[in-house]
Amino acid sequence: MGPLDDQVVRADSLTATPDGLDIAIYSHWYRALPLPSLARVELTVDGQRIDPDVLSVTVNGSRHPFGALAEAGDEYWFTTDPAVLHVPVESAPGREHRVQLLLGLSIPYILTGPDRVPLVAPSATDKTLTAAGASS
Amino acid sequence: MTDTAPGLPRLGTTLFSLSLEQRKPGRDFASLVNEVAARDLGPGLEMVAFQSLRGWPRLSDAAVREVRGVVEASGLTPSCLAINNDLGLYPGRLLTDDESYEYVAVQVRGAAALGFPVTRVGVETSPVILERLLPLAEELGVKIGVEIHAPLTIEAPPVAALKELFTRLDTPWLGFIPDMSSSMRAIPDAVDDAHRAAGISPELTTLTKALWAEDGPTMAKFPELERRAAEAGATPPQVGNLKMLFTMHGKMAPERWADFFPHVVHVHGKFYGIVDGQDPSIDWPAVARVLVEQGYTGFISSEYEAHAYSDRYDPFDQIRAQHDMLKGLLESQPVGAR
Repeated sequence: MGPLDDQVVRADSLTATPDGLDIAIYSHWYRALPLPSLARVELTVDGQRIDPDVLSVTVNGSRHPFGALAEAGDEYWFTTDPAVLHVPVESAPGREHRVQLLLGLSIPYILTGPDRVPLVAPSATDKTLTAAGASS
Repeated sequence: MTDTAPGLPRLGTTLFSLSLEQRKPGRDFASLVNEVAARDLGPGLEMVAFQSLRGWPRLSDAAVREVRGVVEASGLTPSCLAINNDLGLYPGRLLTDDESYEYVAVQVRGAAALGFPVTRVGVETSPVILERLLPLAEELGVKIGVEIHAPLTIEAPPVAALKELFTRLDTPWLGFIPDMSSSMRAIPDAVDDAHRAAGISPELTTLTKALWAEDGPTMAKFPELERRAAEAGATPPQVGNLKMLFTMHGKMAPERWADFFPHVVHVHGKFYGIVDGQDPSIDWPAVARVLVEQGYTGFISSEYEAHAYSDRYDPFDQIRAQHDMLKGLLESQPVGAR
């Protein structure tokens, strides 16, 4: 809840690539978070639910299978940098896609409840945007 | 620089106040620091290391030189570096004590390298870890302060444990960082914008504010808030947003900050908006009285946080208004109190 929610997926976030659709996302949390904090990525593209297991994510120039982020605690997603979700759905430059995303960031220093579980800060997006072409 | 008279708390700004500004095109670290200086919002400069410093907690020597160069050229004085103890770094487990110590120690060393005299940690940093960090703090000449932020108050068990630790160790190198979110007199109006965007009705916002303002411990009001909000048609995520207001805004009497002395190493001047030279949600006249009576001469970092709710207000103008208000309040305290 707040002004950063609208910036998680931006007008220029979609890029059509030979492998599918890239979605650049931006954090709704104020500080850099370690990569395991990318805890929940519930993504639907054009009505099709995307299993996180088929996603990979590029942060700081390195591409990680989504499932491997949990082990990448030495890497941080900086405040103003995008993380790029690589989504295996067909796209093309100029094509419109409806992107519905529930991004849940695990906040590693805010522990809640008697079991001291990290707070998960959610941000919901529902936008229809046009994919650009990948620059060569 | 807008400095206060000698013997009084000093003013400053944390770059956290500029969280939305940081995201604007063309902004970088140097431009934020330089604008704080140009607008005379020092002399103290605080920042959240993980927010402002790319590469933290492992800055290269070149990055350290660059950050130091920007701050020195600005004329601002490093006041406090907010660091984090990310205990929940990995899913399904918390860092061990050894891991937690190392995670924080690296950052205290980083703060020393950058020239900060104080670091801020959260209450998740246990007394055991703090005591273990004490020799490092002494060796580096960097104080470690535990932030007391809503929903914590003087009555919270972790706070009592910290007070006992600081009293037993009797050291200037460990202490508290009061944050005014713990002692508010009203929920700020800026939340109205966020609620509107989240589809929460004005009636629900009014209900939540009224319930918060009633007497009694805030935590005991959660069930009634949940029940009444659900009756009024709030969805579960909306109820979560309403409950967050109770967590983020504490109701401790501001006079109770006196009980944290003499162990206060830094102060967060949390605020959510100044209206006509006054702060509707924080009783700054009472806080200023406590700080002056206690002989506090450290920094009050202006921490504008309404950006979490609304982008309608200019953070630089807001900090200017708060500085003008604080300078007036601090300098008008009776001389006998100083």
